[in-house]
Amino acid sequence: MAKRFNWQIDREQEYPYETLKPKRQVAYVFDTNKCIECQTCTVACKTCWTSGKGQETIFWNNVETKPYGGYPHQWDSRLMEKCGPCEWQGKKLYSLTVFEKNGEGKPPAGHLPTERDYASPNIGEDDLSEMIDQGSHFDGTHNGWMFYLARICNHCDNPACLAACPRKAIYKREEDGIVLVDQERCRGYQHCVEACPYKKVFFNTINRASEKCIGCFPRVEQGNVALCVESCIGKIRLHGFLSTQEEPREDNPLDYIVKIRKLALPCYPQFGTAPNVFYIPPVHVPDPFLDQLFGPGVEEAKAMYRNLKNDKQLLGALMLFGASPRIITRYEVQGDEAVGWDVDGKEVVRVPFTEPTYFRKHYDETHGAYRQNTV
Amino acid sequence: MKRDDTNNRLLIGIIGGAALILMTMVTAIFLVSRRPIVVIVPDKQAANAATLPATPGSPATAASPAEAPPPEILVSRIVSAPAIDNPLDPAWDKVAVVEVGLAPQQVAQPVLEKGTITKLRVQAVRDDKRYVWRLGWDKPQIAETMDTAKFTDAIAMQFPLADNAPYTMGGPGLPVRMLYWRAAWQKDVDQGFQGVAGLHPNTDSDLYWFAKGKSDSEQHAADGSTDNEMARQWMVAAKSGNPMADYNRKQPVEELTAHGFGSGTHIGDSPTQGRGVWQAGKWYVVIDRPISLKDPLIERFNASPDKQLIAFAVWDGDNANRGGKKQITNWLPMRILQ
Repeated sequence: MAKRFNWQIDREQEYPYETLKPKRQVAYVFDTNKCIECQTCTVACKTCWTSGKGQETIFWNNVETKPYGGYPHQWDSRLMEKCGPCEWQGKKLYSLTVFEKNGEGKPPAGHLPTERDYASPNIGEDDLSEMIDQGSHFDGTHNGWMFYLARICNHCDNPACLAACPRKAIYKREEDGIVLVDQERCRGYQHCVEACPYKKVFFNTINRASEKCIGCFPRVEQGNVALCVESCIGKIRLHGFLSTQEEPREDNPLDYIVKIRKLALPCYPQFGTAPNVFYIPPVHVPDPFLDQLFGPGVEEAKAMYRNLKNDKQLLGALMLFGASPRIITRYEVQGDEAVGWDVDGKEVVRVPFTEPTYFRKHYDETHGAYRQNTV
Repeated sequence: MKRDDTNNRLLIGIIGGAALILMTMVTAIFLVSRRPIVVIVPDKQAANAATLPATPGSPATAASPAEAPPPEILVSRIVSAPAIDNPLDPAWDKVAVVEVGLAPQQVAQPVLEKGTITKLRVQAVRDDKRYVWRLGWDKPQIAETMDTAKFTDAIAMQFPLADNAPYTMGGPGLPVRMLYWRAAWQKDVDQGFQGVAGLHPNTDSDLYWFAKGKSDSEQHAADGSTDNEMARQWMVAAKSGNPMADYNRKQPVEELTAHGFGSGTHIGDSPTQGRGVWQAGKWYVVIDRPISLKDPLIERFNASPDKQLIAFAVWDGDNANRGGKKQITNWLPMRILQ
């Protein structure tokens, strides 16, 4: 076992391999406040990548309703039950990660779902945290709550799937940190399925080998965002790269949101895999649940989000969400516009802080017709 | 009596008393904390079956003289070796059976914590053309389905391709050759490939891109509805030639080479054939290999037939055995009779 520093838990931790950091790390920010669970991302991903035979219940991208939803069923609560409660002191994790739980040299702690657990991707959908009594009304505090959690492979810094594979058939790419299963070498032992805390490696029943989200690497190699990101109609997602070889850059929207301002937080950082999908926590959900899901920093992130209108630099970064199919590697706030440049240094977006408003006359003289706003 | 003398005596008394108390305490602590010495004498038979040397490289033949010698696998020569299509051929009743002890693999992670199969029955014969082994073990029910969290029964034989190759799937520069049979592959061969419809009859899918057939049932059928380049784009393991994703399997036996745990590599176009049959709580698996071959394994057999080594591994699909989670043996001596 090697020791490596995990910035998400503010301490060193065990990991089976001593590996170099990738040149840059593919990363995502998802704004949970904007997600409406339309599943357009899910369909975009499935249609493109997983509509083959044997992939019927494989969803590299899924959106589930928290607190009760989960695909596969109870993927997270089962691991939390196994690992016991996590303990934070400030930003530092004192409980054990999945790599430390079973003892040195042992495979990561995990659980292997059965095929039944994959049979109901929409379980718990739209369920509230509690029953709403008849006659209840909104008086400033919601009686129940729920929110949508969009999930893809986290392309972790310390992938548990990679750590668990006895054949070394899983690798993390040096150029962008994307984690892939070698489809030639995999023999379907499912140790990766068992180890991945997020259950984002799936067993293909026909190929009898395991598969996972490929981070849309053919698109990333051309500087384009992943399909789940491009297709998002709510523009809740930003896809880019985190700096790994240098200090976080203020003009890199991912670095700025995640590392510098810490508006977006990792999902279950206590598992120790250092995931690279970061979530802006839902502001209406009580802190205890979010603390468990996103670790320390929820309260600050919520306050920051509520104050966005006075925080032009951060708001500028958020305006890049869904603004371009190109990966934005540099941005700047210029006056009342947020400007973004792609990997080739070409300007690809220029988003105004305030949408221009146009007033149209009641009567259209060109067409000789009255305009109306009803159909 | 001087005042000083009294003081001295008092002092000696106090020091002496303290020393006595200290000695008593030390003795008491020593006695209480002392652990009894227990000598564990291993059961001779169990030790023979379940003890594998800590150093994976040492062959079984180098076991300490206190242990019983490992059983020898004798490949007896007969006029005509039984055909592989019937593992229950009565001809096997006349061939000597060697019972081999199995132990859970606990050398490399992931280990098998607790084994479920402890004994393997080995028979081996040869004629002019083929070497044939028949392997039998107790298994109350068949595990022949591969699905999420479902694993298959399997067995493998291993032979060194280099002197001093460790029994743990070889080592760097010390390759081994393996012949590996899977119950799931036997079912594929006997009953046709286990497709989606077979595994999950009630499943439904809106579409499989470029699959042949108009109706759902036609598209779901495993008869090659996706047997075209376009459809295979969504079946990446099959398209990249992964031996796991063979939809038209002809043989339930795969040949592999390895140079250490986790390095097992498929060898295509193997001349090895096999067949397994489950009957009344027992698996019977026959694996053969032609003699007239120019390959490293047969060359080693022919060079020194008296001094061969063989090792076995058995997987219990019902106990989630797969990969390193298996029951194994150390190298066993194998003698090929001329």
